[in-house]
Amino acid sequence: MSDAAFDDKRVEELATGFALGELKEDELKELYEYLRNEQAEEVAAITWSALASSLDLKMKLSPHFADTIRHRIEHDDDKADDAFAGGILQRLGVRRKQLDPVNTAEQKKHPLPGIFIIIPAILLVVIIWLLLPDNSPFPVVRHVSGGKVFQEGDGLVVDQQVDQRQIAIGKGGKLILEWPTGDQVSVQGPATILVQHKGMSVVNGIVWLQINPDFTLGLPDQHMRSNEASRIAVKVENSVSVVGVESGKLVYGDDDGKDFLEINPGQALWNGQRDFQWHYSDATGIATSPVNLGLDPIAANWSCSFKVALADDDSMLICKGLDERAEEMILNIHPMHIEAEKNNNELWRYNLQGAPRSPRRVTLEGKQGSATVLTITGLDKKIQWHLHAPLDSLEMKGAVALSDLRYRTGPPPIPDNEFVNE
Amino acid sequence: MTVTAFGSAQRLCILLLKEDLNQDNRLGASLADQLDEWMCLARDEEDHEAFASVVAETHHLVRSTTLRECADAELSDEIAQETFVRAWSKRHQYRTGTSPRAWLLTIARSQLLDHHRRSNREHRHLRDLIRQELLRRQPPDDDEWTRVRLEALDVCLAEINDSQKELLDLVHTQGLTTDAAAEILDIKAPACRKRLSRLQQALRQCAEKRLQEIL
Repeated sequence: MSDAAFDDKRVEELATGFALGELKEDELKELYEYLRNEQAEEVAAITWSALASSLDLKMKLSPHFADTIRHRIEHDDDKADDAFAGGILQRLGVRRKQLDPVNTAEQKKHPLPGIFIIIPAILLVVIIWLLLPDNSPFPVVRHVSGGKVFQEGDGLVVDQQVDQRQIAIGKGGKLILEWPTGDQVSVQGPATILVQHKGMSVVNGIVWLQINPDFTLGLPDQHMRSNEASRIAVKVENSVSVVGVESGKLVYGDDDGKDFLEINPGQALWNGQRDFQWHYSDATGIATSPVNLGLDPIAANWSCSFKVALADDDSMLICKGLDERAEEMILNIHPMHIEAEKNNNELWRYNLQGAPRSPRRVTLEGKQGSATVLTITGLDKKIQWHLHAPLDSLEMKGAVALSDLRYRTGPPPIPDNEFVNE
Repeated sequence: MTVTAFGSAQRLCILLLKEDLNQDNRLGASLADQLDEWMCLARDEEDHEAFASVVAETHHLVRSTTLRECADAELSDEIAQETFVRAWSKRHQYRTGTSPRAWLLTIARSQLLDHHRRSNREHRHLRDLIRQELLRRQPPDDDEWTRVRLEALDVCLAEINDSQKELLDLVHTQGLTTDAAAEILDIKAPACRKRLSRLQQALRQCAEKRLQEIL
């Protein structure tokens, strides 16, 4: 029996950490000691209370439970759709942000006075204008392929004009739309979108955009507008968006149209709340100091690839990340071998084939819920490395040449020649 | 059914709310019929909406039962999720007129047994030893009050301030660790967990007080 003194506040903290699955080894030991001393009954009651509290709060606040069921059912059954998750979430009492209608830039810039008096006149002008060829503000289908692509039940074909009704792109489907202003979007199924004059809303799916200034993008959790000609990648899943800017600039404003955040090339915005480095490139050359990647751990899916050349036997590239318990994981790349370690203990080691001084291509792929997969030139197998968050840093020891570093997360990049007449 | 955060007040409720309980039982009977109907729709017509309704009405029961039987919040939710996924994939095995709740609990217990069989073959960790100590001291089973407790919690959640809401949002809605939440809130990690611990304790006490007021 332990002599651990009873400190109810400390026990409460440990119990909260235990309920969240966050306790480190020494804290687990401390809680275990408390559970074996003379106040064990009281400590157990506090811990059970913390477990129940966490469960109650998760039931009230977290969409994760229903989302996971939906994902797993979707995996086995391609008939499950977003309405299924929405249905569960609604019934669980977890509120999801709704997709708001998009205010286009022009609407924001030119509010109409006396709107009730002049509406009929405007409608008449708009109807006549819409009926004239080549004057519709809505986009035209430039490409359609793969799975089913419908607007309200009608299949879409090339050169057809779409309107503001919902467009559904089935799994494997692809749709490219072009606005009269030259803005283009490429939508990858499964996806659901709505288009407006000089703007669009993405309900779910992956969309790549090549747009001019003042194109408005409506997402379940944010509204954005291009500030200059831009290339944008968007992914919306479970009403959460990630928007990456490849070139140009997006501005994110409040409801009054006041801009308060700019997303620049290489950056991405998650859920309308947090910006992070979407991808790095051009980190070419001989690095002389550590490269702090610091990719936000919120980005669950990521990839990092680079070439590394080690000039002598003592040179080494050190890759650092964290495991699920936030403990440091280290990967050492030597000229002739590669090894992983944690807390100064070697986890595994593989010999590398090929010329030791030749550049080796290293690729790390992280996916939510799976181990990070590592591939490296000179090793004919994929290795699992249990990183919880993306890579944090690369450190060079000795004569290390690091080149062609690419670090990417969030929406997939826009493929070359994706748009029409590019 | 479940582990409760507000045990004493709920036990008082058991004594004093007999009339309500009788009414709840009547409601329970109609809910059981409704669950059976939804499960049959899910089975016969692959109706996702109907299955979503089954999940919505039974997830409290399944999650709290598994928590009570494994004393591990993460594992209990994994088992509960696996239970619903299995229930969907095995929906053709559901028999009309039987209880979906009992059927789901059978699946959940089977999943738990499988898990225990697997984990018994593995090295036992400190976390498992803690769970073992907790399971030796299980709290009383009073799951029938979950709905009332969650309603009381709703009221208490509406009363907390913005910074407290932000903390709960980061940890429970977004699923960040308290360390990650601490970074966002620009406070130290231990302080963040302390803050969360105090907040959850305050919410428990608030909800317990609400329940006593109902009495």
